[in-house]
Amino acid sequence: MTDFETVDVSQVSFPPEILAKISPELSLQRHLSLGLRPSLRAFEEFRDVTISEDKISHFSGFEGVSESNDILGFNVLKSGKTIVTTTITGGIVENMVPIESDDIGEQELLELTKARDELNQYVAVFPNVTIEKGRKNIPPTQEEITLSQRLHDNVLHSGIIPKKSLKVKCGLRSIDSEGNINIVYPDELDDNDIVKDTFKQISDKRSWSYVLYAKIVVFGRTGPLLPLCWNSLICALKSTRLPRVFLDERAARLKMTVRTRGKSLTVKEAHDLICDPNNSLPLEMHSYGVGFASNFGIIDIDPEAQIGDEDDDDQEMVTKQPISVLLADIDTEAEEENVRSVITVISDSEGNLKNLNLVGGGSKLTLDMIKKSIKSSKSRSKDLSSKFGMNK
Amino acid sequence: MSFSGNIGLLTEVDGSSQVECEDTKVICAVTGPIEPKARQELPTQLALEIIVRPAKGVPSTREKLMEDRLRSVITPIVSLYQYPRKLCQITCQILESGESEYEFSQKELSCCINATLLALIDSGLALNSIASSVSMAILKGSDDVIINPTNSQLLQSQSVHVLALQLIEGSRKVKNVLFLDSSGDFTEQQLFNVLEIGEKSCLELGLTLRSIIESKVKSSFIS
Amino acid sequence: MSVLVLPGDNVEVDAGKPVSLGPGMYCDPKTQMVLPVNAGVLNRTDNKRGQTLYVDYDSKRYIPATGDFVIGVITGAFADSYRVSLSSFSTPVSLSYMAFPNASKKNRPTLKIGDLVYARVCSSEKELEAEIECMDSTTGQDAGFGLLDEGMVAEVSLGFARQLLYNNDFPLLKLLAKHAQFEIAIGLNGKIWLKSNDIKNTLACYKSILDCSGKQIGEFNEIVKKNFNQFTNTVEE
Repeated sequence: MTDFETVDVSQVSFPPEILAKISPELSLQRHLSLGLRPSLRAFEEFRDVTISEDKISHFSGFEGVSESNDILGFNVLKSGKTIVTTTITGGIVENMVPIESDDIGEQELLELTKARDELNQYVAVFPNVTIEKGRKNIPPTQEEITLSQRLHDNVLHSGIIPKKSLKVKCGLRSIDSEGNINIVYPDELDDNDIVKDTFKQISDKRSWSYVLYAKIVVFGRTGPLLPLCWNSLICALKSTRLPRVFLDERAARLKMTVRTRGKSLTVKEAHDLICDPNNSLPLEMHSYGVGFASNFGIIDIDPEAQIGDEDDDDQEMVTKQPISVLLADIDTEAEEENVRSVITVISDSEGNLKNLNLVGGGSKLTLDMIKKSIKSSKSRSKDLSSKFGMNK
Repeated sequence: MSFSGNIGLLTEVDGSSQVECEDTKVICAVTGPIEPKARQELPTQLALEIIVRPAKGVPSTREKLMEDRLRSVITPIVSLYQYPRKLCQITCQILESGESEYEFSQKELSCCINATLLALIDSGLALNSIASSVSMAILKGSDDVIINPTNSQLLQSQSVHVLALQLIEGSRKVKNVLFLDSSGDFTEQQLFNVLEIGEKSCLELGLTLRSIIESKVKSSFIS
Repeated sequence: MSVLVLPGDNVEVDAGKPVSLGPGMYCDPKTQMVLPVNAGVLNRTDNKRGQTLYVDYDSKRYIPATGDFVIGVITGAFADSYRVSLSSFSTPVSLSYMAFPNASKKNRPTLKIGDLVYARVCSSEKELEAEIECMDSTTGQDAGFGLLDEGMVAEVSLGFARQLLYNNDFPLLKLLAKHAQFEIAIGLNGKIWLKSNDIKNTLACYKSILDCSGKQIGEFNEIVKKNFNQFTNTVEE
């Protein structure tokens, strides 16, 4: 008979790293079927998070810190391969509306609008997230923009920073007859101090507020960043100290009239605010509003992709329903690309929710899954707040 | 709940709609599938270009975030794999925001989602299902969930929510939660209330959207 | 009986019989569910060999489908084919030099950029560039396609173009023919080309077609009359 050419068909098998590159979804499913994730974490295991104890803040009293920096708060957070640094800087703006005004009508009007607007009692910080990719001078990406905006919105809506804690309590510098320089602040005075009238004069006319900026730089992005950036931002805000601000006494006299040759000139003194280099106050935060963020993904385990035991072929005939599992703290490209149902939760250790974001592009988001992730985020929050010493 | 929708009012695009819900008004235009720019092209699926324009001023990071959220709602409902290497442009112009723009974007987002859905239907682009969205608020010191709150209700609220659901089987069944964003101060129980009440009104809205679409389909068929 | 369906609605499919799906229906490759993907009227035919399902819906953006008659604009010429635009901003399609009657390597077609052609879609894989032809490729004979010289093009919705081309009971063309003599080519991409011996008649036909799209059949007679009166009288007076 004619001889047929025989061809050996052998199964090609790839090492795990290569399979992960060429077919991330299959690789992820194979891992999941073994009860593991590509990062070798368990399904509901979080990455370890560490924050740096070293501080570079101007007011941290750390010796290595240059006296001339303008950083008010600082944090470095490490989680897995990702490092997030947050630096809080600030500015001072003059308020449009005098807060403590003599005009009673206006005061009432202010009270009225305040009562109507819950969020108006709080302020946000202005975050600027940069994800380092080794390129310079490129416009911010969609991810950086949305992250910054989400952080901003969440700070505002969580009500972490009350407006009054950013109000500048302006001090006064005076030089007495012996040439001693003395700085006094309104909250350090006795009631019967004579300087009090001067403060009253200033605060009637003008008022100022601090504005906080957060520059967040991310190195080594491996997965979704919102939880990491949020946690880092919270820690940085906790460490923030606002510099005391004073006016020169002479400047406090707002007007003086100068007469020269019968012509009168009014010289208005500019209010030059000076930040006290040695004196600062911690930023007062609403401790009730402080929560930590965590994220969760939901994915169906595809029964087709399971690595089945060779022996139980008989049982394989039973069609398996896909089981959906909850993955905590999404990381690695494989998970980020293939897990399309994501829950992001910001909650405090008591289980009070501050923000909850569900995106359901993939597996069904069931109530059970949401409950499970809220519970998990609560314990995570407890964990983090004890770790970062937030309970003080 | 006051809701009105209008389909196919623009002539030079493939699909268009205008939606008004309480004080918020959005007009949406869809063009596609068209030829993409080289950098937008995806080898196996339809690329979506989503643009949200504010009621006043130029788009800022706030609108970028809304675009991102709109995208996460639209992506699962469009049958993307039927149009490889093509592009669909979706533009939402907010005509009236109906809320304090610095603090909130909830009402605008939910209106944009509904408007986009109607415009997509009008364009004849293949969709897997329809979707509907509502905004909600829980007032301070109360547990009641308010559907499509007014701006002053938003200002007095303790927490604000946007919910978008994917509806199938004659808009009577919820297939999945497409999007939920809750901000403010709320408890787990309140969240589940929001989901439950939101689901009810999303289904209701689904039927309203359905009747808007049906009357449009009927009118386009010559009898 | 017409049933209105929306994307994601349930459509009963007899799993025992072979199913053919037309436009507006889609079988999800993952779940193997047959679902409508457009909002429109569900059409179903059942016979011994199987069932066919499609959704009739109106839209504006043309997506090439094999066998469709289309009107395109030549937008470019390459070594062996033209680039043709079927609708603005859509991916262009290609028209091979060999897809003309009596074409050979020596005998090249003489179309210029900007010319209108009437053609048929001969290949429309969604992953590939669609191709059109100006002849009947099964016989290699002329089939009435080719250059559309002079005349005017009206742009209408795709559903209206289908009605004009396929619905023999559709009264518009007959109404127009009562008033004037004209040549017409209907492209399923929503382009309708018209040419008449007189520019007034061409304009009247053009305006009538545009006005009638989206209107009920009962109103057609009125619209056509009004337009012809307007265009032919203004000149005569």
